[in-house]
Amino acid sequence: MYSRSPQETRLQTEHIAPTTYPLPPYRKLRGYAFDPSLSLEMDTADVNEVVYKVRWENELGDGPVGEYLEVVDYDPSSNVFYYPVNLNHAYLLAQDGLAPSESNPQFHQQMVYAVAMTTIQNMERALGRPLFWNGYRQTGVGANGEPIYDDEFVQRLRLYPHALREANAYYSPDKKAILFGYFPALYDITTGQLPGGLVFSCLSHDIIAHEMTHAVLDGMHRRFSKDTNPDALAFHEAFSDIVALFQHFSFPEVLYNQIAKTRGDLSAQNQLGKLAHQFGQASGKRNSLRDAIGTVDEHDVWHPATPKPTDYEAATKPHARGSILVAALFESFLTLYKSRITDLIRIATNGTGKLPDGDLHPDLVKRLAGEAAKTSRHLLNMCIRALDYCPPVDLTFGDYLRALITADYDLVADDTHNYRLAIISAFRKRGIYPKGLKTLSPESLRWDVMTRQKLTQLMDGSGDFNKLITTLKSKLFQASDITSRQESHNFFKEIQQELHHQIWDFGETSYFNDLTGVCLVDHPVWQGQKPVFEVHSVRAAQRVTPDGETVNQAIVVLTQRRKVTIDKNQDLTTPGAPTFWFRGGCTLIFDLTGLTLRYCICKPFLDQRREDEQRAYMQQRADSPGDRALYFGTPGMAIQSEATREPFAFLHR
Amino acid sequence: MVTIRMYNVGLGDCFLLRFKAPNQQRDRFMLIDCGLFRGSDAEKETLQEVVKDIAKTTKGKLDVVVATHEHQDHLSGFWYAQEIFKEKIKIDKVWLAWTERPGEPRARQLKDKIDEFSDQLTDTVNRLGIDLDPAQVVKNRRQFSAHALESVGSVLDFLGFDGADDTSANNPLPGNGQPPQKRLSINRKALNYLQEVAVPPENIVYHEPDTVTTIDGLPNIRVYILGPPRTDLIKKSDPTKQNPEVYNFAGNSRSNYAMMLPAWDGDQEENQKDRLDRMPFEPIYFMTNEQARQLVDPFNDDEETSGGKTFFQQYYANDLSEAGFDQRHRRIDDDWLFSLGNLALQLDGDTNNTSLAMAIELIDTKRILLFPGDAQVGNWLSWHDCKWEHPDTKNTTTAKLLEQTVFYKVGHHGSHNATLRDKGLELMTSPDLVAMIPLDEAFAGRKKWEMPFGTLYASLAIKTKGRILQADGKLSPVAVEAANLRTEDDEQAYTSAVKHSKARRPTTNGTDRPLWTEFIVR
Repeated sequence: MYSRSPQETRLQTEHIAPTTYPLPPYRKLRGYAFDPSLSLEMDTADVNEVVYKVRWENELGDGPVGEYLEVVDYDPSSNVFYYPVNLNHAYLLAQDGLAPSESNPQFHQQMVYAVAMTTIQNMERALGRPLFWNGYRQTGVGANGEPIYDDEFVQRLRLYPHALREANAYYSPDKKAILFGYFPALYDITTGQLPGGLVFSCLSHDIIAHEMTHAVLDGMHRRFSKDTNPDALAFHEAFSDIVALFQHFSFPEVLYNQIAKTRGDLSAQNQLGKLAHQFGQASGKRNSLRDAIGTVDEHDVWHPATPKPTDYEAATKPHARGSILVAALFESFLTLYKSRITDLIRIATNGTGKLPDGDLHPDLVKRLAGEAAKTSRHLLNMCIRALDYCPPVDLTFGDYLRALITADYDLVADDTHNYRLAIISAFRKRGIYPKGLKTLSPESLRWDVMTRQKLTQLMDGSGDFNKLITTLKSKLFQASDITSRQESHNFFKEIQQELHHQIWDFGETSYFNDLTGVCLVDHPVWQGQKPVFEVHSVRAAQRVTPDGETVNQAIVVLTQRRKVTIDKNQDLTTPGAPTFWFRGGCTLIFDLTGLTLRYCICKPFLDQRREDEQRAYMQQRADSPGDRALYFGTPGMAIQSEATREPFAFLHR
Repeated sequence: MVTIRMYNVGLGDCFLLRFKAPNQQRDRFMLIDCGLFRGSDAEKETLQEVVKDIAKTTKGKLDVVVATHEHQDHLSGFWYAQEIFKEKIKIDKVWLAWTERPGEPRARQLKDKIDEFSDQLTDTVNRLGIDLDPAQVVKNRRQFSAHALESVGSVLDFLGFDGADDTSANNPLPGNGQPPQKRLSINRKALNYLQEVAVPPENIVYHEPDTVTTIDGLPNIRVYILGPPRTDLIKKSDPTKQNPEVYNFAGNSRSNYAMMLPAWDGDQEENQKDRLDRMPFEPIYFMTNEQARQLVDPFNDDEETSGGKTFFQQYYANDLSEAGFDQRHRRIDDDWLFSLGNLALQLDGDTNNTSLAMAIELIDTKRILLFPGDAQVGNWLSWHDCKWEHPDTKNTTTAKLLEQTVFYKVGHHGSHNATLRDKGLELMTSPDLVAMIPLDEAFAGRKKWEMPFGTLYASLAIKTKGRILQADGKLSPVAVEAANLRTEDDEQAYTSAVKHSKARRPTTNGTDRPLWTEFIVR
């Protein structure tokens, strides 16, 4: 532990806590609800300073450095290191951390830590298990020539609050770190920013939450950052925005303020539906960086956005396309919120439904805020839980819609509030449809539940599969002994290896291949490459339904890849032919209580149509690089360019 | 009749136009740019050879020299071959864009920004220890990755600072006891030369858009000046259809360079204040590199509490993970360099937009030769606002000029942002269109630049029916295929209009090329 001055050291008397003191449930840390700019506006100043309640970490060190995160404040372009903040200092414990301040880098450290931990907590709550970062990966060759993949545990994600002098912030999968930038605001007085004043991306709740979500998502689905279709990177962006947006609703004061201001109508312009206000203004936009429900025209007038069925088709860039998914989910929220408050409005208006002019009654505002908070929490949980029901590669928005619906079916059998319908209708309005479906009802959108017949076929076809489930169950049974994330990581890694051996040794694979879409045998598509597959991940999920039942599931993910040429008329023997990795895989969801396979969500490895689409996409992408691609190499190039090394940095520049 | 001669220097523009003057013995000559991208093979030798050939061809007299904009791949010949120019060639008139006029307030506003910014950027890169001559070994002072350095260095090359040639006398690097002086780039030196050589000073013409000009002795030639624009469009360097409300970081909006560029712990006392101005926080909050590294935490030298390691040793300089994995790459020592590259790119676009863009009309046949320099989006867009008030030209529109264009000098070596599509190339509908691309693809490939840009090249190929003359002689399959669109007459006319020099020069890919390629427009 560090102390800052001799005087302070004296004050730090020996503190041996008597064991009767209860452990604090959380650490309170002050911070901005949005970003510093809203503290300068009269109507938001009062609520912009909030207290984050962060899970108490006993071992929290300077930095802060905790179980999940390490804040390392090195500023390479200034060539200096900032003193790490000590959140365990008595002074800071006594006053909920440092007061919000743009000019104190130690507050910046506190802010990134507080928001990042909040995001982690929200994710863990919905998933029902601890989070892991994407590990260090190494590939090698074993004694018998078999490929070996090693996956080393990364305990902490690193946060660099002042890494760049640039209007950018990004998650780096390679560094297992988030790099935040700072930059001078534009010299444009119309934006209301101090011209040339510094804007710190690490002080924006939205930017921190957004980048953190990238990191969490990458830890769960590391192939989602592969740009295999127009939706892939867009999904990464959209999901990160969704988490940041719905987190706005977890600040009661902010919610109360905004509901009072909009008189309960959250579809009017409000701060809750906007992302990165200061960042957007300071870099020359008339609005926030993103706005889920409206746009600002050239006369600075805000207009609500109206969805069109062509939206999805028309948008091709990751951010633009992602914003459509965000808008769809935010609209679902608004629909649900409106339907949940109709009774309250009726009561408040004696059945007329017409609110009187002027301010709403504070009690009504409080009740409305409560409904908004509840609805947003449910939706956020749904969105996060759906990640477990996604195929492991080549995700599209349509797949995600199906995952959302399925995840909700599994947990809430009776959809009394019509969450599913609201979501489907918002997606439909924007033209987002899953491929190959005949109808758009919730039942048909749900992934196919494994039928008894299919299962019997599989079981009868090979005893191997039964063995697999038994292994899984007996192994996962021991999970309760695990005490740390590190142990947990190694534990699941062992199961992965065990399953890999078992599947590798399958005698008869045809049923298994048919079901999962993987290809374990020599097949012409391999073009002479050795058939390989990986057990991408094994996870256990334990969730409690609203009815009080416990759902125990195991999720096993298999993936495969092979090299194919971008040009269909060439093959791997053509010298110098540009190639890419074509991936397939499946997510197997097992019900551990009933010991059965429940869903098999797959992207077949042999799917010729998907392969052709991906090929066309690769070709088209190579034809349209941005400015940076012109100078710094396109992602498709064989050299390890900046774009391949830092996919998110590239996306944001 | 005009003969357009492209000197096949590589990645660089050098065009010599020879005009037949009616009823006169002597042909008139116009030289549009003379430069080669830095780091090209045999840079100086090539340019000197070219200028000697110009002297011979023109019999020592250039009627007009046009310098389109301040980039090395357009100007370096006026520096590297200056002696030959001085000795053998008389330059009558010099044409520059209004942005180069000394004392021009609007130009100064723009240029000062670009200059100041490029000075700081270059200075920064210098201090980082990047040797500006890529042929030299990179002095890797802070151990940046070669990739990061290279990408930044390449873009800076456009700015044209010469590391190897300048003696340290006029190029003092900081740290040798002298305050850094303002250095002159090769481009500056080349422009200075051109501005001095044209005497009397009236012979330097600073061209404005919306004007029409002529060349002495050539009554049948008219030159429309299209750009650079006087409007804010000069700041628009990239297509931003998806984000029209975002302004670029150009012009007056980019003013706080100090904060965009890194702060350095200068060796000298007088730099201290400067440095602190560039820091985001007060000194009480930071420790220097040395303090962080050398266990000197001024407030805590107690080894027990610090575990013998400072915070940053433990969490930043820990190049091995606890399990022994190499995690040096988790550091962020050079990631911010990529943002320098970003700034350099904007700078590059801003300068390209000051290109003098001209449409040369052969009045008798109503044919247009289009020389846009390296104009980017904003410059192109502004052409459509041009009006030429003279009675003969007042009905002319840019759309008409483009329609009559039979020769197009492809902008910026065929990059994606220097040929406007809908309001540019798509309007060039003449069945006789021919394009020249001053490009050495192998060299651009070495720099990892996509030149020519695939889809642009493909539409050029169709528009020109495959009549693309590229400096390295390369003709891509799309262009070969498009040649099938030509009629027999087309074919014959084209073959008789193209000529290559007997003299040859070596190229990057090991073969050799004719020194020049000519195309005749009647």
